[in-house]
Amino acid sequence: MDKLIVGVPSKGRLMEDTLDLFRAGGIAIEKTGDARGYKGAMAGVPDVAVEFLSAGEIARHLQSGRVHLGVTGEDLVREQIPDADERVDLLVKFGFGHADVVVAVPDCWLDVETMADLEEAGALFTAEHGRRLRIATKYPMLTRRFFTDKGVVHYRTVESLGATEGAPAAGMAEGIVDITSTGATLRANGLRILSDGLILRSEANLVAARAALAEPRLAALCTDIAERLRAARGS
Amino acid sequence: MTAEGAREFEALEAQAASIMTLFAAKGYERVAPAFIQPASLFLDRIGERLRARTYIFSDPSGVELCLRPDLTLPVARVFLERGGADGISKFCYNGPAFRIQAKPERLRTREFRQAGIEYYGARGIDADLEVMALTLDVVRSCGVLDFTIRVGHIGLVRALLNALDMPQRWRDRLARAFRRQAFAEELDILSRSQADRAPALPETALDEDGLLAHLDAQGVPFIGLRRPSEIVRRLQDRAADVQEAPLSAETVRLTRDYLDTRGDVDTALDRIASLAADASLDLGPVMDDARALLDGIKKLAGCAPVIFEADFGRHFEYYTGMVFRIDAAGVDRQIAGGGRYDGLIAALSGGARDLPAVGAAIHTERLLVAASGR
Repeated sequence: MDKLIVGVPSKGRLMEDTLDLFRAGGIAIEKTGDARGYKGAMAGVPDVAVEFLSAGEIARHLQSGRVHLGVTGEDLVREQIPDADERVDLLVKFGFGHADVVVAVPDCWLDVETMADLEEAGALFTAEHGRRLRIATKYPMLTRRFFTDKGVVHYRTVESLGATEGAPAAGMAEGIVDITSTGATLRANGLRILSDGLILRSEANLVAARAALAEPRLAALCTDIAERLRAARGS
Repeated sequence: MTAEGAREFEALEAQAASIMTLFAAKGYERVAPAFIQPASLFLDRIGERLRARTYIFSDPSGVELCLRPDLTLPVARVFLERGGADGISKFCYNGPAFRIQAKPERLRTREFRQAGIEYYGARGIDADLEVMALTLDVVRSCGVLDFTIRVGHIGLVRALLNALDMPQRWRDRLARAFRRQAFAEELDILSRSQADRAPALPETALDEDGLLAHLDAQGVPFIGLRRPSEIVRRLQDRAADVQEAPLSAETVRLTRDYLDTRGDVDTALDRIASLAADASLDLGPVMDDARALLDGIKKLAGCAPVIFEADFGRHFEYYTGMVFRIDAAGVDRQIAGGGRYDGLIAALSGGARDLPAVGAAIHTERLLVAASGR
């Protein structure tokens, strides 16, 4: 019989907080086999196989259906699954792993306070420099959707794999889309969030792949786990 | 090639040969730009929305490349690499172009063959009409006689904005809004008070030295490649907006009525002329040119309907004058399209070369479907 495959973050604070919450819900997750391995089990729930993965991989595998239920950030879900609302359900908000995805520009751009300002500044920048204003990000999908909604077209994204906040000062981009929790790192890098530049308030979530929910037995297991975590969150 | 059947392949080859013969007979030189192009060529001209429909990838050094989604920019690049001669240059091409299709179907394939012409160095409507005539020659000679031509004119939109009483920067704002299909919203914004645009700054910060001193005093570092002059210019614009009277109700109504204009060429142009006359606006020589151009297109079209749509030509940032598309009966995607883009060569060459340009592209698979009626 096929097991329900549950993706759990494999490292850091996110993993610890996740395991604590499951434990509070009466679900003990243990590693099976080698302690440095990536397989696990839920004590007393034989129909579940746990896989320890990075939060990004969990989002990707939820899309492909290889993972049925997973713990990951809403930012990663919305970035990596183009039709997220059709493919997955966000079942339980965990109350940790908070991160806001925001649009930030150099603080010295005193003329740019809103997304509409950014569009106009971008158009004039293109006329002046012969190329588009660059937005460094590891969230190109979220950026594109949000900018389109706000009527901003005079820009292009450039891929950033780390230290995105440093890109404008280094001359690698003009602005950024990135996650922030307190905004301190942005300020330290001479950046400021646009007044209507909040793209998403993200936190860790229990996410189910719709395809898995189509099977009654797996759906029942998902519901049971979600109920227990919800109860643990409430207590 | 894609999964073309042998018969379809032969039919396309035969069609391509006859199209290229027509182009060559009119003095268009065949060029074959690279399939793989630098992505920035397209991203800097078309912007981020290009990514939704273009195959973009990186080479090992991290440079973003793409499979060309269209041939107009690659041909312009070939022209510039050869030195971008002054005077008249005419090029033609026929080759594959590539676009992402969420649901590929017969009329929307990931890979298709595009044939087309580019005519550089001529500003007048004779060049517009030559490009239109040659496009129609191709359509007809391939056996498609039942088609409709839709025409728009970006120059007329500009002429209308220029004739209306408002600051130049508002005209530019509206022209940009037109291209991103937000014209009505922008009109709405400009018909209200701009008091909220006031920069919350001391007036002394409204020039370059003042701005830098102000930033310094606030402990804000100056970073990035956008220059102080660009920031100051927008601050001054915003300060000036506050003093400006909002667009009048007549201006808003007139502009809306203009954009709603569509239909048979003569009726549409008469309507525009009377809209302008009622408001005592002089659209200048652009109006006469547009009339002569559309008369010419009607003659070329023969019994095919020609429809003018005042709001047609959005989406494509580089168009500056005539824009057109040709639709064939029974094929629900356009078989050909084109227009004038006088700013393109200057933009691509960073201002080094400035030549007017007009061109057209034909989606040859769709043309074949329209011709065979299957």
